Amino acid sequence: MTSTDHEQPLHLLSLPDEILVRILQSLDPPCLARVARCCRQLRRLAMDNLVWSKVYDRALTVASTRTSTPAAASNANPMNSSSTTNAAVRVENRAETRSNRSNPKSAERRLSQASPAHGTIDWRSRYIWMFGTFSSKELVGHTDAVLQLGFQRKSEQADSDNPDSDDDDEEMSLNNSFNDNDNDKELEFDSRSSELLLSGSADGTIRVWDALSGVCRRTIDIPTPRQPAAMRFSDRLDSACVGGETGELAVVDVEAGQTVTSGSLARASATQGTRTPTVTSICMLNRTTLIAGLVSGAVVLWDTRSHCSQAHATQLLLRHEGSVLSVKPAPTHNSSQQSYSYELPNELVTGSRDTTVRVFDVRANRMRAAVRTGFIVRDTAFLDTGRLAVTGGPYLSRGASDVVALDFYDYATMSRVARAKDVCARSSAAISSLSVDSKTNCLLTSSWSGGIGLWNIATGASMRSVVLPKPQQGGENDTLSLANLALGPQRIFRGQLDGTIQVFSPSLTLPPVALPGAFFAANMSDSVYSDELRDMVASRFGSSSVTINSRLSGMFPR
Amino acid sequence: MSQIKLQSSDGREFTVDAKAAKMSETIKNMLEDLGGDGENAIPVPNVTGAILEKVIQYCLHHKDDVAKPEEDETKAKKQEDIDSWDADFCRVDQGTLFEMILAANYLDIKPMLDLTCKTVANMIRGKTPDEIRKLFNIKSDFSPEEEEQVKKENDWCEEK
Repeated sequence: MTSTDHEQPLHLLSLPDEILVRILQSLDPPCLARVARCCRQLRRLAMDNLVWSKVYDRALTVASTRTSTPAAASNANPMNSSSTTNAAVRVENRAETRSNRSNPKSAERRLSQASPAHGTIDWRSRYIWMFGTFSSKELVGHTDAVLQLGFQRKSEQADSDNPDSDDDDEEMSLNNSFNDNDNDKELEFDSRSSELLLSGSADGTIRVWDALSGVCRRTIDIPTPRQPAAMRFSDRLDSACVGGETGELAVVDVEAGQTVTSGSLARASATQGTRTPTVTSICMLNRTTLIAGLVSGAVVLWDTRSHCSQAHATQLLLRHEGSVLSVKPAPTHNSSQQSYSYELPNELVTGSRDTTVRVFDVRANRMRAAVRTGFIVRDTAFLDTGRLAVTGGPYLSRGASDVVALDFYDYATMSRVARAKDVCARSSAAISSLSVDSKTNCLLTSSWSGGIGLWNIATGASMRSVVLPKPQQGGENDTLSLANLALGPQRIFRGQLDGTIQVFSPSLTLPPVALPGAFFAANMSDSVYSDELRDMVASRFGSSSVTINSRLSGMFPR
Repeated sequence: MSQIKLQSSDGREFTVDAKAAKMSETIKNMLEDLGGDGENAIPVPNVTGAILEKVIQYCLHHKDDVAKPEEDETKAKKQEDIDSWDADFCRVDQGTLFEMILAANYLDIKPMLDLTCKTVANMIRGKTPDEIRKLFNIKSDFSPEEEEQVKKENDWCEEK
């Protein structure tokens, strides 16, 4: 008796998912892409995170073998190699004597265990960030600097359901069955939801773009302030706070397209001084409290409920010695859930031209920490590992401090735990902006030279740095804002000083597996370089690779 | 106890070398739990005689393999290198191959599961979506829009 005696021989798709995943795990990305095009079930499985976790591991392994093999070959006699040979070479030499290999991602796992809050990584997206090829296009519309970008994820089904429900019964039932049928599709394809990109510009408008097609859906005029100098969208993206060239403050309802409340700092006692109170950074602490950082170094709080009675409603929180370039609310740690939330933030993180980062507790009205970084602080980003990333650099490459850096602080103690390596070498101009992609556990940096860096949040290691084509016009200081769209197809959006928004989309071309030798050679010369690879090589050979691991653990001491 | 008896779902009995049978974690655990006396056949309810025969064939051939440590995690990535005995062993019709996968999974024989899964992966490798569908008798259930979208999502794989 054989299996063919059954009424029907077993079908591939009748195998349990865990087995299909196991089968797909040994395929490479082009194969998976073809598999995905076969049917819905295979599409879902070919996108499975377990599958891509393996694919990512393998790609790193392959790539690391590639990077270290030529080096090892040129070092045929290990005894002759000097003690200063690069780490990868030494590791490779050890590889011949050691067989006990550990999992490629063990270093990351080990380090991420230190931060329980860190969520699941989308390995497919991570793979695309790491190995994809970037292409770019521009969204044109704004006529002046793009100050801020934000994303709104909108399900169109939710909207279209309402008008439908007005119809008669028969129509209703039809709609319902249609919707029921569609639930699967909705989950799997998300075809009816779209992503909206919000951009706020110094030209006095907010534009709403379809993030995928790049079509400008709406333009919202901001009547006041007439010359926006700083802008930030609320977390929910339904409103924007705007600060003006001459001290005006306003909250704009993005949905309604109008200014909800406005005021001016021009005669506010808190900002007394000879300088025009130009707003250089702004954020909402909560629904009613607006925080503005000024060119004078003052950080003021404005209670938006107090409409127009600006002078009394503003309160000076702290004073930097140079213009305040970044103001952000810090999330509150929820010790029971081991997570951070922005629900009721009561701390502010400010960064200034005076090279300090300060943490101010608004409720207690006191400064919790002031740290001198050694560089002009341009942006900060809170990582869900409980760390704060701080970055910056000089003004137009001139000025007292030339330091360009990316530092990681432990937020609780505000002590520096790491400084990313070789940032200067990779970015000749200031890093102006940070963006966190929690889906892939990556931190993105954007520098004035046009470069974009990807950093591993868990380890602080550089994953990749890509020099993207320079904008057609304009000089060095083109990048003002960077936002990263992690949902759906991955994109990086970058607001420019000339009003254009650059969109970079990474896509997979041929995977490293299919290009023996050539892949890393080519990408290296494109200044794609990866600490992560090297760290992975190190981790595979365990504790013997002291050179690398000591650096790693040095970055983030436990 | 050097020989044990196994009984397939359709009632066939097999007398097997104990070492070979213990390649299956499931059988190994059963033996330990039952403290088997070697007389009563151990039931293998999820596996037919034909497939159990294949499983036993595999286990007999591999029973003396040195247990490979975890290093295989990275080494096993060289997909194509399946040795010739294993390749011959997997030269069966699709239905049988899938049943072998299920049996290896149920009986928890990791190297056999790896081998059979790898064999299926090798069948998929290098084929176009149409060829894959044809090979495994899969019908596309995509709507035209989905078809378009999934194509867009994955169009980087078209090597030109």
